[in-house]
Amino acid sequence: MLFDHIVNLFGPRDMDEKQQFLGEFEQMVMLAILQLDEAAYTVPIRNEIAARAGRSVSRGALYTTLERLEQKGGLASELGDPTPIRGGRPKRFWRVTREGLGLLRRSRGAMKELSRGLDAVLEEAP
Amino acid sequence: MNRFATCPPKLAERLLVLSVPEGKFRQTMLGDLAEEFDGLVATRSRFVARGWYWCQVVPLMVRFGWRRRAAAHPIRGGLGPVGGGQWNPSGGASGFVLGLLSDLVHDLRVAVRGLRRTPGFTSVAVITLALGIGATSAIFSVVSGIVLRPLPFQAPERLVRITSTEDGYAGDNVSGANYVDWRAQSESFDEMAGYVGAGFNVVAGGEPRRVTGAVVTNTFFNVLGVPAALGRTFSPDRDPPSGDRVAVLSYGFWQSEYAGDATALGRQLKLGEDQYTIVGIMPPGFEFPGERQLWAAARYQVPDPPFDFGDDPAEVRGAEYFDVIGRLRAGVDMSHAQSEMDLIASRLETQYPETNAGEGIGLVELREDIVGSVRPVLYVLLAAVGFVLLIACANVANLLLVRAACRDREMALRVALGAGRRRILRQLVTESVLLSMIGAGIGVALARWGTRALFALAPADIPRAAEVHTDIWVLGFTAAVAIVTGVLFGLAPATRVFAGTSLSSALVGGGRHTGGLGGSRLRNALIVGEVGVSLMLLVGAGLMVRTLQTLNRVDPGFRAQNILAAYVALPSQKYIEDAKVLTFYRSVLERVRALPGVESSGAILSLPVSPGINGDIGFEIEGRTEYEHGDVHAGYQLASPDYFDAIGIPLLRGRVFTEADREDAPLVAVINEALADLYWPGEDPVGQRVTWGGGDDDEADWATIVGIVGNTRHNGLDEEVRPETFRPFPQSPMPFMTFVIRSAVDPTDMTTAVRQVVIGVDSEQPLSKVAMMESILADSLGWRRFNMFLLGVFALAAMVMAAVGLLGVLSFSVTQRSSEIGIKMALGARTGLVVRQIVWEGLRLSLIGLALGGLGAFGATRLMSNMIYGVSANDPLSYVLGAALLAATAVVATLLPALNAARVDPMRALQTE
Repeated sequence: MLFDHIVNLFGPRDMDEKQQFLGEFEQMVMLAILQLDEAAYTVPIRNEIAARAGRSVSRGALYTTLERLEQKGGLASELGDPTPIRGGRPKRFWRVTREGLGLLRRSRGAMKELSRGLDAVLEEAP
Repeated sequence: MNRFATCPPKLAERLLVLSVPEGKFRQTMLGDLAEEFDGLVATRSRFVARGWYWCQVVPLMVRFGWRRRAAAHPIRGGLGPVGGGQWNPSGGASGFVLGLLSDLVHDLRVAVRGLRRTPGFTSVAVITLALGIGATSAIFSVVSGIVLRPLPFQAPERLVRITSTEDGYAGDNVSGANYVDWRAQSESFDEMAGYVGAGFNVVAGGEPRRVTGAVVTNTFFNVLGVPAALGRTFSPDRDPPSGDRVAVLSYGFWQSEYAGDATALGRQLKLGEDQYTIVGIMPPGFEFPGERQLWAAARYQVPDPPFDFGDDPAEVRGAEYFDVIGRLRAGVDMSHAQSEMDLIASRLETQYPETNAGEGIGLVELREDIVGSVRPVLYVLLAAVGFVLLIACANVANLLLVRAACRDREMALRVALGAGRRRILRQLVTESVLLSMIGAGIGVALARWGTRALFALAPADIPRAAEVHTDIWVLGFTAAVAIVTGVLFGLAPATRVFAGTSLSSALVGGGRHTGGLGGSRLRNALIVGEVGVSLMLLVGAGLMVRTLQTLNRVDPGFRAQNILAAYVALPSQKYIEDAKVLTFYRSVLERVRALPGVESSGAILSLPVSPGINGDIGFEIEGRTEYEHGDVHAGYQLASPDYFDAIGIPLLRGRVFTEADREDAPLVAVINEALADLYWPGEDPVGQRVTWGGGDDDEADWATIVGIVGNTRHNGLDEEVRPETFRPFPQSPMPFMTFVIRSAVDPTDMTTAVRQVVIGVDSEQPLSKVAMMESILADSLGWRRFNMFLLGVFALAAMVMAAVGLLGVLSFSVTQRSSEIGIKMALGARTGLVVRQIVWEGLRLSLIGLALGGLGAFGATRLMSNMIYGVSANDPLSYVLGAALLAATAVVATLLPALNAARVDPMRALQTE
């Protein structure tokens, strides 16, 4: 929640698109969506992040992040069929757009660049 | 599975819809939550799932509610809650509500942070409040269930109890013929019903046992307006008098006897000698009159009499043996009905002067009739526990004041940074309401436990006990109490904010500010109040202790130690001949006497100090036509020869009964001292003759008085001794008697042996009301003991809290004044002087409190007048002891801070200056 606030206040909201990078959590969300492929809606996305990254995600943070990524053009969504188990409400399925993939690559590339030569520091001791 | 049961909490969903802005997320969010909720219901439980749902919704509300508001007013939203709560035009009405809500959330967060920073303070405050609120809501749930809640019948306000009154005394039973006339002649009632409590011997399936039931007219359930849970109740059309014998079972009896099997309907049940058809099962919780296991339809137009009259009881006007209720016609009020019944009563009086002279008809609301007697007691207890809660509040207020004094700097800073006083006030109140809400939460749990404990202690005859539970009213009451108390003690520190703490002095003072005169005055006033209220409770408890002391000293007139009592009621159809009844009782007595350990055993019609037949019967004295004391009435008893010896009633003159006083011997009687003093003052009644026969000249009806025995407190230790007549039981046998068995060994061990004896004589005959005479005696004081115990606990709690409060205030004052004390000591003041000064400071407050509390107790104990016995409400001993106990406690509570003061090191105290 705190993280989200900070992102809200100081996040790279008004930067030029070319200079945009993704935050750590945004990257996690996008990677989870890629992992889930067709089945990517909010419930499994949260579970995926929890299972793979071992990080329990605040529900509110996930919704705001998805919304923000959609505004950036990194994600697109469409509605599924309403199901009785959801009280007759449809699921919203997410997929990563081409721009999104580009953003993700750029961010990860930047991280890789910055990490170069630091293997000795970053690698875990055997 | 029930679809509805697995829906997420509706309220939570609605709140979420309110706080989340409209858009694509709201529906998705709700859907996700519903889906995960469903999963939890399947894997865990509905309860867990609901709890989880709320835990999810609250943070979402805070987050999105906030955003929604921030969107409406970016600057304020961005900066957080500086102003807040104002009406926000662009947000509309819901924006305003959300604004308040998010301010509240912010205040709550700050409050939680503040409370977590001071765990010591928080836990003391919460525990104090939990105990105060818990005790209050425990007592309130009893008051609510018993006194406040309407009776669980249809339109209960129209139900009235209708009684015969004699010479203005209400509450008498009604006779068959009178009831029939009332019912026929009155216009004010939709319907009337008669009922009489009755025990039934049940033989089927195992050991014979006795169940308590009632024989009721076929209008009974119509009057109450309660349908059966299963099957049907009685109705005038389907169950005419002399129709088939039918019975309705209570839910509990159905569960225990038939394991809740629906095929019980239509089955036969043998009660005594009669076969009944079970036609219905009542819903759980249906209790009238009192707790019953079954209801049997009367075989006459009126309830069956306890023993056979030989005539149709509906035509008998002299025997008053059952109770009547009626349902007022809609729109008819009590006074109208009363005047109509008065008219009917006077008509019957002229028509049947022999039986109805002086007899009126009394109406009383049914609820009043059922709970009227316990109401004052419960109200006194509620008031007492309310006082305890007040003390708890005062203590927490004191803690908050001390805390506020330490937070002057923080408050001053906030004011300096532009926070309005109103805003700060709200923050303070939020904090205290939060405290009391946490206290209330724990308190409710304590209350549920406490209510159970209360009932374990409460006397068995408490009415409507089954209706007491933690319901929405109790929860509402607790929440209201929590909010009110929270605001009350939250305002105490707030007064400091308004008192105008100077910014510079607060900042410079560095948090060791002296609290100010206003603060200390308020703290002192709270202590005075606590001590005063504690004294009121102590005096109340003292009066109850003295009452019980007096009652325990009252001589019951018999020796209760080592006596077992057991009641036997023979079915009147099976024991239709007197000879059979006599044979039964004689053989049981004979065999019981032969049991090892039995010293003596007897039988009596009605056991002293126990609820049962307390019939007074008119009698005549030979040779007298006019009596000084008006109507000649006395208790009517049948006793076996050894009864007096077994229970330990002393013989004063003449003789008691012997085996020779048989059914065919001349009639004899024994009277008690009270009767002798009343009608033969200064004379010897032995040899005089009396009759109960109604004054015929039949020589055979006169019984000669052969002896005088000591008095017993038949109606209870707190009741006057009543005049009594005893007859030897063979001379007028009745099919129900209580055995009284005195043994050398612990008589509880004898229960099985006695039961075996009875079964040996009649294999279908159960024993009931088997109890030790000592516990019967103790139970007769049940209410008083209950009151004493509760008042005692409350008083003790109050006293401890007052002491803790005093200790806290003085300790704080010593800390605040340590430099002053240090200077004094540096200037040569002796330790003794300093100690004396602090002790005096505390004692002064306590003495003012004691004086005020004494005055308060003088007024409040007036309410207790019918709870106390043998002691005046102004009993000086209770006042003096209460005051002394409190004063001693106060001295102890002041000593600790005083000694601390004496240990102040002058050098260090001066250095910090």
